[in-house]
Amino acid sequence: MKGPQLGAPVLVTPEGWVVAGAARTRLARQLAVAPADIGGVVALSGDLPPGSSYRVHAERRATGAYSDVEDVDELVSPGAALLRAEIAHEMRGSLVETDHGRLRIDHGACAHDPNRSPGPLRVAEPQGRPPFPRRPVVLLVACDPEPDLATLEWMRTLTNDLECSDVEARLAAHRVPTGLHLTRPCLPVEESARALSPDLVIAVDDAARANVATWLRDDHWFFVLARVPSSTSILELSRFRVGGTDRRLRGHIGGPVDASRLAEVTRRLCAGPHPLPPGFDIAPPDRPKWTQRRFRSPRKPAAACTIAALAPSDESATARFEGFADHVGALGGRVTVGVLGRAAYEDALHADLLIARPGRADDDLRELIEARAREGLATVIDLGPETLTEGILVPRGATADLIGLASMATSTSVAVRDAARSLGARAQLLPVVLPRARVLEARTLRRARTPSAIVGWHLGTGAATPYLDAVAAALRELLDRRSDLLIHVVGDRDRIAAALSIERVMEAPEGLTVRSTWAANVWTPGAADVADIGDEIALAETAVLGVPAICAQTPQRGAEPPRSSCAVEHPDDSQDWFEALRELLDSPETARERSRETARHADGLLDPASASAIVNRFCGWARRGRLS
Amino acid sequence: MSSPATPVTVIVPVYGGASDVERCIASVLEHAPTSQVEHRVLIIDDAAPDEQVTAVLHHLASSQHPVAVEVLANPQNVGFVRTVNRGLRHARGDVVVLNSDTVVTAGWLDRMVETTTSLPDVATVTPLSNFGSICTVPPTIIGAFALAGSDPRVDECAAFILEHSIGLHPEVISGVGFCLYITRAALDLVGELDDAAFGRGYGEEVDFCLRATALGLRHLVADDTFVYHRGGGSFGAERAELMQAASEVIRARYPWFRAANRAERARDPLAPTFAALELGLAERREDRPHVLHLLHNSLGELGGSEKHLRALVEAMRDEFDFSILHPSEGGFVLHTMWEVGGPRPVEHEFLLPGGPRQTTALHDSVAADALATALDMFDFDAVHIHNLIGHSLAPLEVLASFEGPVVCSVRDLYLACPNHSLLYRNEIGCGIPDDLAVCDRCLAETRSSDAEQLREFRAYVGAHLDTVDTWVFASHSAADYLDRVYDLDPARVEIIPHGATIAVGRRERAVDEELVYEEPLRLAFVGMGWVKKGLAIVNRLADDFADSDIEIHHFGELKDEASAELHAHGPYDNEVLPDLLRQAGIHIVLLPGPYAETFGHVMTEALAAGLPVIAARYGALAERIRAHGAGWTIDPDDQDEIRQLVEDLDACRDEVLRTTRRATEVPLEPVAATAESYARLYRHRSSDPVRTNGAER
Repeated sequence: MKGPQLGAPVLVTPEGWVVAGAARTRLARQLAVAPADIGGVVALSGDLPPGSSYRVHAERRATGAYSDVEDVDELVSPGAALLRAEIAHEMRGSLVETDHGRLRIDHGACAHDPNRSPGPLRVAEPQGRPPFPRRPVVLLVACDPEPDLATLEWMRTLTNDLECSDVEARLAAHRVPTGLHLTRPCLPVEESARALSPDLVIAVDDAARANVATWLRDDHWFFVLARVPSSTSILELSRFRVGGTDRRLRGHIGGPVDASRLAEVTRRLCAGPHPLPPGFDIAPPDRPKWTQRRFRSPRKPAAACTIAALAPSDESATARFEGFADHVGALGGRVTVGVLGRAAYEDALHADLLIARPGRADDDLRELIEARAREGLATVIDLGPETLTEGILVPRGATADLIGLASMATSTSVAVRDAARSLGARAQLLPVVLPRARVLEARTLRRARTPSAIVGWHLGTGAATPYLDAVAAALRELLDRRSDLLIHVVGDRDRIAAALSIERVMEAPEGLTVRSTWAANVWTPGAADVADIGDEIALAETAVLGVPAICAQTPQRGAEPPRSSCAVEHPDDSQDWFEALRELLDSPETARERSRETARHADGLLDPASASAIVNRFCGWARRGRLS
Repeated sequence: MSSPATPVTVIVPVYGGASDVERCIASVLEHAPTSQVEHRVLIIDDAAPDEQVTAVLHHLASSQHPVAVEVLANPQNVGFVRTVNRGLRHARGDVVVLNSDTVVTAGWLDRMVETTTSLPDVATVTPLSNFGSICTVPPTIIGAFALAGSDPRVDECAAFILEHSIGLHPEVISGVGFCLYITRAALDLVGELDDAAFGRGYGEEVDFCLRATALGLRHLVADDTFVYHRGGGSFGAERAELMQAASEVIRARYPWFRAANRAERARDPLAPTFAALELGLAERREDRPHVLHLLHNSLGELGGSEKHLRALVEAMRDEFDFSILHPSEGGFVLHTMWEVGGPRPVEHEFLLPGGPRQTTALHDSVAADALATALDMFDFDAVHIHNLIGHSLAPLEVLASFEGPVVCSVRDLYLACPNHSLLYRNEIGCGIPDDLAVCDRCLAETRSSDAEQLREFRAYVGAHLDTVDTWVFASHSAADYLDRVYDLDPARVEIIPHGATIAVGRRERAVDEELVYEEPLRLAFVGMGWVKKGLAIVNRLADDFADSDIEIHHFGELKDEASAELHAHGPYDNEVLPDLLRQAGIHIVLLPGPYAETFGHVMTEALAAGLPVIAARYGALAERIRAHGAGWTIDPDDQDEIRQLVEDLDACRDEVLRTTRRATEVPLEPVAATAESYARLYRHRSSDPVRTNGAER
């Protein structure tokens, strides 16, 4: 018995068996969500339907429900098993034995013993065609009632080789050749050909060529390669001019065949042209009355539900939920936004969905989540940057408890989302969405923008960035060079170096109008991927205003800077900040160009249609239960 | 065409400005020996009060000259127009009325004569000048040759104009009086200038020209000839008054003239000439190869071809200069983009003569002339045809004699059939049938055409296949479609997949398994929402899945009717499309149209978003899906199969996951990465042996 391994699960298969990719993926998924006492998931073997392949059979099985499983203490049928790394195992014949734990048989997964007799010849079943059409189907047909063994062997080898070259090959003959089979052969009759509806037919003999033309006379899509006797390899395509005599015959094949080349040729033939003319007698399709429209939301929006959003008494969190509520409303849903307390409790208790941001009243929130759970109602915990502290990438304490209790979480940050997932919760990114009126206001102000010498510096409210001094030095140099330059600071001014404590550096007045006058938005909150919600909202609004952002290229943990921003490659180098700003301030042409680009991207990503898509996705995600 | 009536008499009325007169006559005499035109000079002294003028004229009359110089004197001052009329009566052949404050330049008379013969029924010809109403060169040229200063570089300017002019000889409503060549035929038909109405001057040449026009004669500009005109000195304080009076007479006699003149200014028949001259100032660097692109639209349009060409031009600007010829509402536009050392290429647009384009499929002579003009205007080292729509097939004929390499990118199947979608009723793919009776019926419905015209069309292309040195396809499938109609030499076929026209650096590589397994299946139809791209199929899917969790989205402009069940997001910006698709939680991009794509930029955008694609089982999309396992192929005519596929994918998220992973691994390159492949084709000279099959061009 092989001892416990570390790391990834191990696929254990009887000697010579094959397990298709579809089955492997399915086993992996089943094992990932299986209870801890399940040591492995098993794919049993079975007969292939006539005209099918081990791969197609596995794909068809894989469309079955994930719940079609059976847990056993011991395997009594041969099969392939995906075992957890720590499970010791042994093969006894074609049976897998493990030293402990139960095994889960997944009836949606199957393995294949290619050395087993493929079974009696029968008419191919339509199930032999791939359910996920991509690989071409090639049918090798021999109609000679007594094919010679060499021909059968040529067909069997080529069929198997094509299977290994990502082509679905099938063998149709009056005798089953002996040897390894990755497919189950079928009878060379019209029903088989129609069931498989091949893309390419390899007519092994003259009778096959003649029969196929008749069998598939109405089929739009197939071509024929005729086999010619040869001891050397032949694979020739004939020219395919308009007005040719045989529309189907595309070439000849013979001798030992390079299957990968034949696969390539097959794929090329499949890509057309297919010169079957349209049927002019076909009446125009009978269609429902669709309406001419440029844009409208769906009739039955995903957001047609009641949602309660609870924020601690935090202005920016409330602003986030209000933006969200505005777009849910636009999709026909209803959101009440409030602070956890008696007034909001009833709404929060009975809403179809509750989104809550942890804060001071976490015990009350816990109680609320439990009460809702008893009613079968879901709660989503919306997580801010405070979820993660310096160097600690897993939520702790009350927040972790709430995530565990609700088992669903959202955040604007990839890092926070991943942290929530690491606790086993379903977690999704829920980006900032701006209320429609706010977007409209920002766009209106954008139209009035003129070149200016005001730079906004968004310090942010989160953790201090390590490169503030470099930014301050760059701004100091610019202030020295240009006497008309003003700096508007947003955030904690105490962080600014003393060198910038001069008259022309001032606290930014509130409002979009002021921000619309900025030439640039120097954005240096703690880190782009864990920025405070307020900082993120400000960044989004300023982008809609058409103010280009300048920020560090890789703020933290590989996060990317916002689109259209000028990314400073070396944020510790003041010269990099200086150059990025100088270019915008000194060249009106560059400033105009960058402003246009910023506005264009903001319109693309922050407009109401995008916000609707975000809200729709959130609602769909929240509605769908996790795979059991 | 006709020969000039010789001898041509150069009539110079003189009143004041001795030094001007001396310089003017000296310039005429200087260039007389090299002229092939028999001519003489007639100077008429209109009782000049300045003794210096008299002295100059006396000297001229008493000297030997390479051509005959005759000096007449009016006994009393009669004014400019009567003086000219005296000259006209004195002359026998064609005449040139030349102001005495002008300076003519080398070859001036010969080229003016040549202009009179470029079209029939020419009444007058006017050269370009620094001070000559509509014939005034742009300020940049005036500045470059100091023509407004005291020491103008007249000969240099004339040589420059001769070198850079495109010699269009544009037609104008009226000639300009500072140097007006008048044919004897016109004089015989129209008569003299109207000295009763315009006695002292101003407006008389306009009146003469409009009378000539009324008789079916025309007025041309010798846009390769420059005559300096100091100008502004005549009539002193009277000038404004005379101009006003002349204007009133013209308005009374020709009420339509003002509007026509305004229209002419707006149309600006000299714009191409002046643009060429301004471009000449920029001095394209001769060491840089120059490639002419033929496109169906301007580069500013948003189509895939335009974006691709823009990216290609940007990627190759270090080595090549480019010009783009494309049809527009008003005719054909030549857009030049040359590197002359600045931060951006120097760009100019020329509206080429010929008027609005026609829609002739075979040979549009306007298109042929436009291309021929473009080739005459500048030296080109290579020509790259991107799309012949709007050009007709004429470029294939025009370029047959082009010496450099001709590259043709086959971006659609227009060359196989003018109904280039190869779709009957916009829905049913034909695959290029053998039976032309099928085409006959289809073309009658889709193009008001027939099989006979298709036969002619294909015969024309077939006869000009050798014009193209390299046929470039973005997929094997596109090559195979065209190969069904024409005998393309395989040695002349290149497959160069298009690079991505959006940034692919930010491409999503990691697959979000939670999205795959734990959200409703979302499919997005992306791009222009019309039937030929599969909107009808998408609508049916949206209806079919209306009561399920499966969502069908559309990103793009809706052109045809759409289901109310479709989540329609409206137009999008390609650059942010991958982000939009990710934000919306899309799993699969649906491109189910029956149209046989030749490449599929939208598929590239889907792959950039890390998403697999469902597309028709034929065409380039299918080729790309099969090559990388990056999606699934469907029969666009089989709605049941499509619906079943979507249901199976909803049931089997493992398949979605595996295919999504493959989609993220498909190598994507920006257009810049393909630039070297094109550069190789452009660099290849026709004199180089290129044929691998032994045939050399």
